[in-house]
Amino acid sequence: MNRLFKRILPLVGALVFLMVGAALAVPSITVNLQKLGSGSHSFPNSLNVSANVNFILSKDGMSVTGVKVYFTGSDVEKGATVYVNLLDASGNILGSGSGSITQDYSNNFYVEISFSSAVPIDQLDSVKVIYKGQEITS
Amino acid sequence: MLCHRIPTKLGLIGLIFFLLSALVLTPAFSVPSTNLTVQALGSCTTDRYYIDVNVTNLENFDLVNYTFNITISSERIPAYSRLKAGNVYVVDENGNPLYYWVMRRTRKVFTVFFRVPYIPKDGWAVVRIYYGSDNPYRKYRKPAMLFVYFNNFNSLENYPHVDTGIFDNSNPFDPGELSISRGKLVINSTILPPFLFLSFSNAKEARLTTLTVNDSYRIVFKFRRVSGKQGVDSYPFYMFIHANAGGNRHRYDYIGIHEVVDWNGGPKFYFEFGNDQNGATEVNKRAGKQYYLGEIFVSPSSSEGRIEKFSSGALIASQVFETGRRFRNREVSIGFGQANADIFADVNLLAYVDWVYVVKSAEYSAEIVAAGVECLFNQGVV
Repeated sequence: MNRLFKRILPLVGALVFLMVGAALAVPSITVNLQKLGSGSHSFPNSLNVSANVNFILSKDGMSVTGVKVYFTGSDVEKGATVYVNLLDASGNILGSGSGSITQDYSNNFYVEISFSSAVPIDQLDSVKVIYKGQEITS
Repeated sequence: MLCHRIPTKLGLIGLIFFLLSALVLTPAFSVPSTNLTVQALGSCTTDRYYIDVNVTNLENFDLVNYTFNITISSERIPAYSRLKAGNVYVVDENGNPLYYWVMRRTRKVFTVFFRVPYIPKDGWAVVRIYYGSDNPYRKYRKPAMLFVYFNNFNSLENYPHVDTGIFDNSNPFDPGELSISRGKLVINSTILPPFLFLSFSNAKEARLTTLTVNDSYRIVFKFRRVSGKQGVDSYPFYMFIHANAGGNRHRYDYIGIHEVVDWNGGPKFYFEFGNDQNGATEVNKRAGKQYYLGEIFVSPSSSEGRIEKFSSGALIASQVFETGRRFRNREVSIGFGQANADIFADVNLLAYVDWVYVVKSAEYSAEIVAAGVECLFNQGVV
């Protein structure tokens, strides 16, 4: 063992010397680092989702008290959040609400939203639906 | 022995060198651990609106290829401002297009006709009325497929004279007194007073078409008077059905506008129902210069009339003409006329007719069962 140590000692010494020498010889360099990585999920720039907004009408049929929105398409997922805004002709919000997509017994994706106050039909001009899928971490 | 030890030592040295190198270089080349969280996000705005209508058969037989209609108050139609006559179409429960015609889209009311291939006895059908977007089924807007007779007066035709017997004398319209202007029939005649003591009224009358009353039909005119006060007992417009009952005997029903000379308050225009059996019934409702719908319902067993405001659909008056089977299986003329019922002065009368339809009638109910809007998200991500 002692002999072996004696034999490799010069080599170890040479290596240490080499490393120390190299370390001492490296010039001062400023290195900017950026964390870089990529996930495995991506979404196309369009969603394959269609929404069918059924108005829930008051008894006299003159106002909308809520909506039941059915979704179809390959990008629809259970648990996604949906926001619905009823707008007048000037773009003002007449009623709004949100909910999470669930499935009925026939596996239809839908969300049912009630508005805090009924929206008169004669003021309603357009409907905006916002779809926000569930978070996916990769 | 030496031959074996040298490679072992060299391997050991190499191993140490590799470990040290790895220790130094690995942190430099390692990729940082990154957690990426993504969410699908999109928005859509209105694409096309719809109204689902349940049509229930109230007859005791199957309805095959019948035409139905529904009139809906604008206050019950979401986003009514987006509904245009040109972007409306109708489909069945499976999305198949149906023949349709938008009869009116006014500020207050919307009426659409559609033909349903089949509704069984005691059954119903749900149709969907789309509006507010592109119309892929414009070619299904075919009144000719909906009505027994339809005329929207795109061109002037020959309208033969028919003497209905409503007034003492009947003549054809003179050349030029009937014309077409902007898709409507213009009836513009001058009628002289009758010869004193020989008769008391002169009329000009024309026939649009004929119909055999072997079923129930609704005959509807959209019309309005244009001429103002003549100060003379006269009729600027009337619509009629008429059948010859042999010899000089007439059977008729009519709905007209009657200028009544009231010496106390000046002339006024009233609606009037009349038939050959019961005479004329003046309705205590004024006839303005706006458009009206006049409807004569005739069946083998009875006939009746009604008048409504075109713009609002409000009923003005209705009346049963007869229940004595007077038109049963008879061929009737459907037409219009103008008349002078005064013996002292001539009149210059002007009226418009926008369209006329005759539809086979059935008992049914049509009611809204749902309304909504469709939109697509594939127009970009927010």
